[in-house]
Amino acid sequence: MRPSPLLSGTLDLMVLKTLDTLGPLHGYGIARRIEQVSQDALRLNQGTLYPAPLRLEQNGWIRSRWGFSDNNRRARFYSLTKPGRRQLVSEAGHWDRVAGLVGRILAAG
Amino acid sequence: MVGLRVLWSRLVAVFRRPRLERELEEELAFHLTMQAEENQRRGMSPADAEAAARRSFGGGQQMQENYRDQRGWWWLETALQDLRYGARVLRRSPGFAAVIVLTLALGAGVNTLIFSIVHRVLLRPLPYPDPNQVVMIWENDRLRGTDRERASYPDFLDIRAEARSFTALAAHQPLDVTLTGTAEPVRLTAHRASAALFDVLRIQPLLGRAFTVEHEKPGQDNVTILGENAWRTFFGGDPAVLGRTILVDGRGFTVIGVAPSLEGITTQEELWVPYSPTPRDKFRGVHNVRLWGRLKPGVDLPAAQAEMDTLMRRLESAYPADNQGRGARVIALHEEVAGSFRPRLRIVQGAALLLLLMACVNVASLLTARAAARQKEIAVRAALGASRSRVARQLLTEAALLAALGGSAGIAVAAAWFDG
Repeated sequence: MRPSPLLSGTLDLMVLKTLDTLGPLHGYGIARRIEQVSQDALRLNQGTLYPAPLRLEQNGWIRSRWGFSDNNRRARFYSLTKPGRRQLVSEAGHWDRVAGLVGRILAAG
Repeated sequence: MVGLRVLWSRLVAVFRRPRLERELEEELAFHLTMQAEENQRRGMSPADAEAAARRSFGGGQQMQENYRDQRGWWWLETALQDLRYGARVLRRSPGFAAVIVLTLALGAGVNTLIFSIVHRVLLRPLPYPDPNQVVMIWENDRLRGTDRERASYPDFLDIRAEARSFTALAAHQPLDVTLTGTAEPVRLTAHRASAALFDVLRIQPLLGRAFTVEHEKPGQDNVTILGENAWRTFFGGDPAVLGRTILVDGRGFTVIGVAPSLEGITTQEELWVPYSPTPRDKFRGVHNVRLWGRLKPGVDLPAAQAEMDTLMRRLESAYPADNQGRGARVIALHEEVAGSFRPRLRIVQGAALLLLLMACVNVASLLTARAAARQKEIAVRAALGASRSRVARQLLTEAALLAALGGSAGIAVAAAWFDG
């Protein structure tokens, strides 16, 4: 089955959550993590991920620093900021409400 | 605030583009390397591993375009490119650029200057509260055919007692006097003025206090209010001048205040003294006072004029010896100040606009001639894939650059003229 297109905004939420769980991480790590957690149900074109961290950084929710990866390569590491953590909490709550609402409507059908 | 942050980071991105491009490339290279290594660990050959990494990454160019769209503003980036290119082109032909900039500077400069004058004289309201309610009242004489004559003091008293259109009416007479007791004697204008003039203009003294009606009684009238300019020129702007006695035409006056310059009316070196009637002021045939009034809220010029017509007819029949044939005209202060300039300024303004038009036509024909000479360059651009709109945008950016240079030069020229 072809993967459904992502709902807009959900990618941002996944990136925030990933950084919250794993701490500072580079783009490749974020992409891998999202694929793993979704048990490969979500097969992104990994390239489409990159505008998300940029967008989050522009909003001040994450910041990026250049550092070195485990195998000693220069990489850009993203980490969550305080406003980012707040944003994650509020977005996650919003998501729960929307998901619950859609679930109830589908169940009632 | 979040919206502002995003705008700001996008704007910054436009100007840091080269560095951000390098970083993006490095980030993507890192990603592909990591993925290829991972693939090799799963048993792929190095070549397959790299191809698979590219596949799983998806369309690299397309992704980079999306990324750039998110990062900055493509339109601003290309506009800046065009601007840089335009500046280079103009530097290569400085003569052409100078002619256009100078032409525009002249056209824009003259217009800016004229408009500044028009604005100052005609458009800007006078700096008094509700300035449209301030009027002057001039007498006229039908028998002798004169207009804009000063009123007589007895007429002023009757008008003040009877007219209902005004909240305040003031008499005023400028006199040339000599001020002594300063470093050397100076000639200046002394304005005899009713205390009510401050109510008519609704101005407050800068310092000290205004006249009251008490000061208009003989014996109480030896007080003066300095005009701001006289205060600064002859008394060094010293606040301690209050309470000092100065000699005006040999008579002592105590300084009780400092009045602001009356912009649009009188801004010379001057002083104010109370209008206490002299023996001459008893005669209805002596016309030496200017009349100032402030219209009541809701009363307009025609209404005030109608009341004055009735009132003057009554004075005419009551005092035929002095007032036969006399009427009065109510004129708004802004009309009084600007009226005589208006037609002349309009003509000058029209001429300046024509000059600007000629400058524009000249510049347009120069640009057209130049565009013809650049056919080859444009053909090459089109052959390399530039769309019509892209070429048009580039030429427009160049023209806008010229216009901006010419316009700012024009404003500089006008500012220099205006101050000088």
